[in-house]
Amino acid sequence: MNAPQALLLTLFLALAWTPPGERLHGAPTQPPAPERAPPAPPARPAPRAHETTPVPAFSEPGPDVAIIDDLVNHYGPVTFDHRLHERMSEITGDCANCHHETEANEPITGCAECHPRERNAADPGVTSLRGAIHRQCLDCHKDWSRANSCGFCHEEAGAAMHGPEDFGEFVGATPTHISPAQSYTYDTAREGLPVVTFHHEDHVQAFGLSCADCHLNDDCERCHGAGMARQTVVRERDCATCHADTDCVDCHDLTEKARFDHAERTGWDLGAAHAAVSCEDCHGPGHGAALTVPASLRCLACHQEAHGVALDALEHPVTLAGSHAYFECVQCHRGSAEGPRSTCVECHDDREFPAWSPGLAGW
Amino acid sequence: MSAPCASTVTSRPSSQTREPDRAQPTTSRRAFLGISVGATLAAPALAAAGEHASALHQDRMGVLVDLTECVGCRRCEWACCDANGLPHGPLHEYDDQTVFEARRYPSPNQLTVVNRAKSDQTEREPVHLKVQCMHCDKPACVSACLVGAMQKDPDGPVHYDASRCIGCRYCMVACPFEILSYEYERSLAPRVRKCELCRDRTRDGKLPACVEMCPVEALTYGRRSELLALAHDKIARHPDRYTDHIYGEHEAGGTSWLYIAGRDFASLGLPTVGPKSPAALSEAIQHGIFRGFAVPIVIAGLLGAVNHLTKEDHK
Repeated sequence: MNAPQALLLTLFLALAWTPPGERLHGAPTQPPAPERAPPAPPARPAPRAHETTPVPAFSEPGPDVAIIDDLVNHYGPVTFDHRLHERMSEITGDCANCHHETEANEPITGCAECHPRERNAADPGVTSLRGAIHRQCLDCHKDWSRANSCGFCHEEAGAAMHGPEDFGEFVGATPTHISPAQSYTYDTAREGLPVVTFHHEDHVQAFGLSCADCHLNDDCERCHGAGMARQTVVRERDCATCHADTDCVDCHDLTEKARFDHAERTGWDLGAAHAAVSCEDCHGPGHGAALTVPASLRCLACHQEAHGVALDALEHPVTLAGSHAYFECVQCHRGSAEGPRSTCVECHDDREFPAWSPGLAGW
Repeated sequence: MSAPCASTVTSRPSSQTREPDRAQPTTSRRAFLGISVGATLAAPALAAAGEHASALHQDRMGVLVDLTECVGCRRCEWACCDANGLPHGPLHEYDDQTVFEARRYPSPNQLTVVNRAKSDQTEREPVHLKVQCMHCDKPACVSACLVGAMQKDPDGPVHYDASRCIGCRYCMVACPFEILSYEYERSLAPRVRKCELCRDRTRDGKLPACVEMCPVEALTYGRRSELLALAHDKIARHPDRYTDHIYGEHEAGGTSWLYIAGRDFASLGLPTVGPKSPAALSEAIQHGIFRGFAVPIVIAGLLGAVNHLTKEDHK
């Protein structure tokens, strides 16, 4: 653990639950407060750099696990899987979900810098550290499958505490209980072509999209079920983010559409070797309208360098001299790399095409 | 009634000055009867004095409940029982959410209860409502009590004194919030039971037990005036989160407990109560009749005159 991580962990360890019975409204020996106007609990200005712990916030990894063990009152400590929450926050609004006073690439603002360990009678609008942390957690865990009971996070009072070592395999793991369907079929209101089939697995595996690529600022309940709701989020990504220029019929149909098949859809069978190549390697970056027939340059990028096969005009089984050197690979290699190739007669026939070429008729 | 009471917290006048207010009454019921006879004779003077009895300290305390923060964990129920010496199970028993299936009312063994409001279909999270004595500024229970067993502390709490109570339960009928409960199952000296705003704890500088326990600090204890300012500020800053209504600011003449919520309070199960104290009308009639003892004198005079004029006929 490097120094910034250690500092961050220290911050978490500082989170505390005020023991009951302690005087929350100050000591009785204090003089009475003078009469004053009722405080208008203001929106507090965010603490600035000189007040904050100098930890690069979001450019540095946070701790895997934070043990919140200062409380130990009615309940035992909390073992907080920071890594798991960090991953979920990619979808639901970034680290600022919890670190709400910290902006990207700024030092983390510690909770205790605004939220005092004990409630302050003079400023009832400020939530104490204990209240703030509970709110932060329960804002999501409020009614999650009725699991908002204290024991969901807290150990029993006096129970043996879990340490980070007990969470080795668990920490940061992709939740296994989230298993989206391979495909979803939607009955839209569109007249004529109401059925839209969305192949989730293809988007994840074939197209290599991450959860956050689509589910940015999405509802927690999409994964966690009804009840796990955050009302503040508005989903930022939908189909049109990528498919703005896609033809209607590519998605809409009268019945369920089959999964994407490169051979059927494009006439180019990827075969065994090309199936493992990512879309971008051939088609270049971008989705939707950017999908075009690969330029020869992209074939050569692999076939020259990766395979060590000198696939230039001289080594090509057919000498590609003259104007042939400028052909796109797919002009001859149709269907698949191994599949049927153009024969000479497709261009060089006895007809007058191309007009300038030396057709068989001229021989 | 004594002068306005001193504070229960340190930022207010020291606790010694409040002792006279909190001195246990020594009046027995027999002595009370004697007093009441004298009081009848001195009714005009008492009626005049009564107008000053409701003087409230401007720093009186209260609790602000932010229903948008409450998660329905029911730990306030546990803390209340624990602080008041009432029977209660271990904390984890309060995880039981089946209790929300029926609306509950405070009872002698549970001075505060949390209910789950009926869903209005648009909310995605259930709304929970903690109920307890509202500690009205002009309490109907105090007005209804024949023997002064219910008293409003000038600094907030409405206090019940079992040693004075004759068990008539007029206070229960009078309460517009249907809060008071009675120990019907206790055969000897049953008591009315209600939240006392933890006046013993606050006198020692502690928070009310429920406020201290609340994990999300949905409950805030403080001066009522400051809580109102805080509530108004919250509503102004988050108009999408709160309805523009502080329940208890004006209800029943104002209460020490204040609520803010995301939807109207009637739908949450809080009674719709007008801005006038329910005691106002009956007190106005009573005090009006007896003001200067004029009406009784007039009536007695009329009856005497009738008697005097009619008794001649029977000779």
